Formats: sequence, C-alpha cells, structure tokens
Amino acid sequence: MSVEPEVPIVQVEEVRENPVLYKIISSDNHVFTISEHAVKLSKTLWDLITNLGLTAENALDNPIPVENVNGKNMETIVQFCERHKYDEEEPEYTNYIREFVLPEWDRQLLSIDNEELFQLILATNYLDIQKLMDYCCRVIGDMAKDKTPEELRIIYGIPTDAEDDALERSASDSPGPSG
Amino acid sequence: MLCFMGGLILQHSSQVPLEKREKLSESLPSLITVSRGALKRVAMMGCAVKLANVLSGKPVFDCYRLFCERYGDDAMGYIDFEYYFYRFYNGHVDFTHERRMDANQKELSVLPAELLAKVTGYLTAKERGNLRLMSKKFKTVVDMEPVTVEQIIVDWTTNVFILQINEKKIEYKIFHGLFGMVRFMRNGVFEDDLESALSCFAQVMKHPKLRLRHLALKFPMDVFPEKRERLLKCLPNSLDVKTAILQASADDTLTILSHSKPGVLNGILVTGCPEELGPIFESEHWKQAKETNVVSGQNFSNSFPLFYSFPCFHIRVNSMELNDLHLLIANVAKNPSFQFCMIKAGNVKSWFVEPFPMEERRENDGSLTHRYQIPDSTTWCNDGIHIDRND
Repeated sequence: MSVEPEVPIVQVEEVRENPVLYKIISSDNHVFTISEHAVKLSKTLWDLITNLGLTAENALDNPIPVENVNGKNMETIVQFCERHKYDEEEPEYTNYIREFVLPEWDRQLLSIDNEELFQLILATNYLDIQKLMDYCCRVIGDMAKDKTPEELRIIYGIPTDAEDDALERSASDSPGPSG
Repeated sequence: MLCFMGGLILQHSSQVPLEKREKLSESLPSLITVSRGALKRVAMMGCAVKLANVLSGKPVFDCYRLFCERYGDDAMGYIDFEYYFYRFYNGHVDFTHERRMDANQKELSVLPAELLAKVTGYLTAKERGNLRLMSKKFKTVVDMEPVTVEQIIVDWTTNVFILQINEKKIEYKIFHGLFGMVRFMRNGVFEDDLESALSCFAQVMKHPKLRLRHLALKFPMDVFPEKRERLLKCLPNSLDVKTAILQASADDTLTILSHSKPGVLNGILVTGCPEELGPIFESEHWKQAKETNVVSGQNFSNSFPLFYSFPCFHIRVNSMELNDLHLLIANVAKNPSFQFCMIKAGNVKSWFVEPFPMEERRENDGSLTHRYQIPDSTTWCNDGIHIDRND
C-alpha cells in the first residue's frame, strides 16, 4: 500500500496574492488591512512604508497612522486599491490623456454626494493615488456635461464674485486666534 | 416591479443594481407606515419623488430639475437633494433620518485650485467656457489647464450661420425681411441675434492655453459688418492653430492671420485675387507655413501670371485662352516650389493650338478632362485640368 506524499494544495489566487499585509489606522481610529500590491497604488503610503523599513515580518505589528483620512474614506480607498492592485500600469497620465471608460464597478463606488466626493478627493490627493484621482475628477467632470452655466453654479456650489468678495471680507474682518 | 405610493408610481429600472432594488423594495412597506404617521405629507411626497427618480436611474441633476418643477425652486437646495439622493441610491431609505447640519459644509468649488484645474481636463472646450463665466476664481482655474480642440468651423453665408466646435454644432438660419430687417432662427425658434454662437466662440477662443488643430472660417464679404467685427474681436492675440482655411475678404483674412502664431501655422488656404492678397503673401505666417494654397475665381485666363510663383493653387475662370494655359504650364514647371494646381474654365478658346500633348478622357458624367505631365512630374484630372508635380 502506497502512501501519497502530503503536498500542500495551493490555490492559484494564493500564489498570486502577496502574503505581505499592512495595517493602516484612520483619523477616527478605524484599522484597515491592505495588501502590499494594493498599498503600492498610494505613492504616499508606499514611500512611508519604504522609509520606515517595514517588512513582511514586522508590517502587521507597526500600524501606519493616517491622520488626514477618516475611516469612511479609507474604506473606499482600500476597496479601490484592492480592486485595482493587479491592473496593468497606465502608460502615463498626462493632462492630455482624458479618454477612458470609467468601469461600472468604479462608477458605483463613486456614486456619492458632493461632500463625500470632496473629502475623498482630498484624501486621494493626500495619499497620492493617481488612478483614483483621475476617476474622481472624471466623475466630477461628467457632472458638467451638457449643463448651462447656471446649472453648473448649482451643481458645483460656485459662489459669484460678489459672494467670493464678501467671504474674503468677512474672513479678513474676523478676529484672528487670540493669545 | 411596480409599487403605488402616495399617488406616485415607482418603477424599478434595470439600471439600478439588483441588490439595491431589492433593498428598496423591502423598505417600501415600512416607508408607507412611517409616512402615514410621522412625516408631513409634503416631505413624504418629496421623498417619494426622489425615491422614484433614484429607481428610474436618472442622473441626479435631472432628478433635481424634476423635483423643482413639481415643488418649486425653493423646496430644497441641490446640496440637500443630492445628499438624500445618494443615501437612497446606496440603499439607506430611512425617511426619519435628518441630515446633520454642518456649519463647514464642503462644496466642490472650494477644492484646491490645482485639483479643480485637473477636473476641467475632463470638460469639453464649451463646458470650460461656461465655467470661465462663473467667477474670477473659476476663470483662473480653467485657464490653468491647456485645452486642445480638433477643429473650429465657422461657415457663414447670407442665409446660414454654422459654428462647429469639434463635433458640436450651432446652426442659425438667416431670414432677410423688408427694410433690411434680419432675423435668426435656431432650432425652429427666432432669436434677435447670433448671441449664443458668438459668445460660445468667444469663450473657447479666449482660453489662453487653447491649442487648435484646424480652423476654418468662411465669412460673407459684404453683410453683417458689425457681427463680423465682433467675431474677429474674439480672436486671441496669439492663436495656437496648426492649419487654417480662410474664405473671407483680404482684410479679414489678414486680420485672422495676424492673430495666429507664425511658425505654428503649418498649412494655410486663402481665397481671393493674388493682387489683393499681397500683404498676406508678405506675412511671416505665409512664409513660414509648410503648405500654402490659393483658391481664386477669375474672369479671364490672362490673370494666370499672378499664380506662377505659388506652390499650390486652384483657379476657376469664366473664359480661358489655351495659350495662357500653355504659358502657365511652362512657368510652373520652372518654379521649384510648385506642387499642384487645378484649373477650371467655363469655356476654352483656341483649341486648334496644341503644343502640349494632352490625354483626353470622357468622364462618366459626360465631362471632358485632360491630363498633362510636365517634366519630372505627373498630372491628372477629374473635372478640370490638374497639374501635379510628383517628386
């Protein structure tokens, strides 16, 4: 009677999946786990990881605090990065390459109101995630399609020059921080 | 699935994801319960409309317009509407939820300028033009990002005005009434002026970082002087354009050329008599262009010598002496820059002289064409005489 040697069954996905995971703590103390491939989409985070010398051994013991991004936005960002971690690298994002189709999955992810989108863009800008930034800008740009100037003012919440001036005046008139 | 609620029919659309539709459907009975009790009827109706619109898969701003049509512009601000819209869209259908009023409410317009500039990269030239009108801040923002436009065409005759920016077209029909009265019709509606087209042209042209690949301007020579002047005033001082086709008076053509960047303008086609176009041929724009073309209508072929020095030209004459044609061929053959010309004649005299062996061909439409090959060159014809040098 022959005994077959025990060979570990390795799923293709596991081979593909990088085992290195990192922990990120948002400004409101939510903890997120993100894979190495995914975190590389954020230039800021990857630079931080490289500079801190985090490795597969110590990554999970050294969570990275990100004080400028709250849990809600971080959740969206982690979802996005995990979704796109194996995407082929874009040739180059320049100001002149704007023609791409926003995938349906991403359109759904970015179906959020202006205020949330505002916060997400700031977070994305801070974390320097080029692809997500392009997608967010595309969503905002799409809002303006076939709109009149007055509709644009409503959608983007654009103040008139007079309102801008009034805001500036009130800002300059208000007392500065005391002490 | 169809549900009846508060007098409104809600219809699920296949555009809304299945899981969201199911979640909304499950919530409908509780919505009705809540609405009968706690909520005011108006609020309920408003919410129902919003929910109906979410389900119908329309864009948020279209839903807002519909909402304002039904309940008035003051019923709810866009920001609030959008907030609830996306709550519903994402399956949060708690009608008792009150939006937290945040004093530091953020709107997209207060994003940093460099991010707003990036957003404008996704807008068409016309949309950017609209944004520039919003405020000084947005004008600055829009002007930060270069805009590339494939083509701008103005096709203006006494009876029609067409402005085309890339694929978008604005078209007016022009009606001339008694006592010089002129009316303009756009999309079946009479307008007093070409206002929307002219302001659209101005918005696009005034972008300081506009890069235009092709400009085609066809102006009427002797009508609409004020409007023509207004349109010409929209041209920036240094227009970055690669090729231009200009069908206008010599003065207007010179004005247009003088607003473009010499050296950048690689191809120019102008129309008119070479005698009148003299200042254009002397301009740096003409001298530095790689391809130039003159299209001219003349009465007689004795004007041909005016064209001997051009590399490329098209002439239509009412009457042509064959001797003039022979002289033209002999002279363009000596012109090292000559590339191509085409002659069309209403009638031709002196056919009995034939020093140049021309190949005659009867075309399908019955017209007669002639082919002549000058030394080191090839010629061919379609509906006139084509002379072409092929180096």
